[in-house]
Amino acid sequence: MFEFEAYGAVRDFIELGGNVLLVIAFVTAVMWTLIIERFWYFRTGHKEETHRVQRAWDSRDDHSSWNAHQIRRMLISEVQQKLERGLNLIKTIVAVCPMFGLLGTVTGMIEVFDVMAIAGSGNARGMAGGVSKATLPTMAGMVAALSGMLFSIQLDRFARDESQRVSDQLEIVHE
Amino acid sequence: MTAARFPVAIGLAMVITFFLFWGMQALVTVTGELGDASGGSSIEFVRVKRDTTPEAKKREPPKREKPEQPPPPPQMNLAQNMNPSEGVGEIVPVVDTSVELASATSLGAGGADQDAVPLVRVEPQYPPRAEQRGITGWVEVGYTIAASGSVKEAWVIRSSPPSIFDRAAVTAVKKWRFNPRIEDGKPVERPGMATRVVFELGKKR
Repeated sequence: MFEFEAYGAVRDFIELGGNVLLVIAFVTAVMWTLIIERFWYFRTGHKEETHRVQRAWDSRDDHSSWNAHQIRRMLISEVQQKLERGLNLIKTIVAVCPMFGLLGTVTGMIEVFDVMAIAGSGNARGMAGGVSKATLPTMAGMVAALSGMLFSIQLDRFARDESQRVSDQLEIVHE
Repeated sequence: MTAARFPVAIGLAMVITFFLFWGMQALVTVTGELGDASGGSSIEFVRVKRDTTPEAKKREPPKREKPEQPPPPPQMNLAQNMNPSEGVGEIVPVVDTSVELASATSLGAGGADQDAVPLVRVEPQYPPRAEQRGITGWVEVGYTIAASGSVKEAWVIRSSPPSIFDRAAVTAVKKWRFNPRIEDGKPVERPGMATRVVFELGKKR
């Protein structure tokens, strides 16, 4: 019963907010897909990757030559690359979300002016549709950006710390 | 590995998005307790009568001689007032639109039936080039009214001079609003409407 009620409420909300709100919903879903995928990778794939790199490094006899240093750098940057894949996209989406909100504001205002041009400024009821199309996407864009920003910072920090940790684990033997 | 991660992530993301929007919806929904929210204390306004009577001001109508003959009524320049943005150009366009319902209305069908009634007529923009050159003319526009009352399609039947005013006329007609035609209590489409949009330049002075 609850799901049905919530579904109806959200559908009404999106209908009220117009097409831009739909776009924001889609962008939010994409952003969260990326965020969840990243968290998942950090939990599972990243562990395997560290083990692989560690094994590859440990299986080498030579840990001190110039060649070994280059290979160590390669291994570290491999880990780093896999850690940071998609992070920039998440940050971009977080930055873009409020702009989509602004887009909604502008299109909604245009609709209001359209109504005013045809029906005059006295028809507040006619303008209300445009006003809700102007304000709801603005709010949705901000909420989406807020929800994403928190986690994008978290992910960023995690990626940085992990790549540092991996580089510390691959020990260099000084002679 | 990555391939397995994404579908599940998409599903989870959709759930999260759904709940985000549900939360937003809850933010903007006004709960229905506006009425009895102020039940505890209410302010009553009481009108207190003043004991002083307002002083009556005596006014004498100013004496003035009657003029021998009333001055001539000032000449009004309507064309100028209607177009404040026009500036001081020589020519001011006066756009005259008239709606003619081309085909006869069928009123005999029943009491509930009603033909489309024009509500809003938008004046066309006078094409600036034609205005500069002093071209006048007219366009006959055919159009179809949708069940919603807006103009669904509009097309040019005839125009004189050809194609100068066509776009302006069609654009204007498309913005018109009607009470839709009612048949058996339901709004229906009303095809076969036609009107002549006249473009005239009113001479100032």
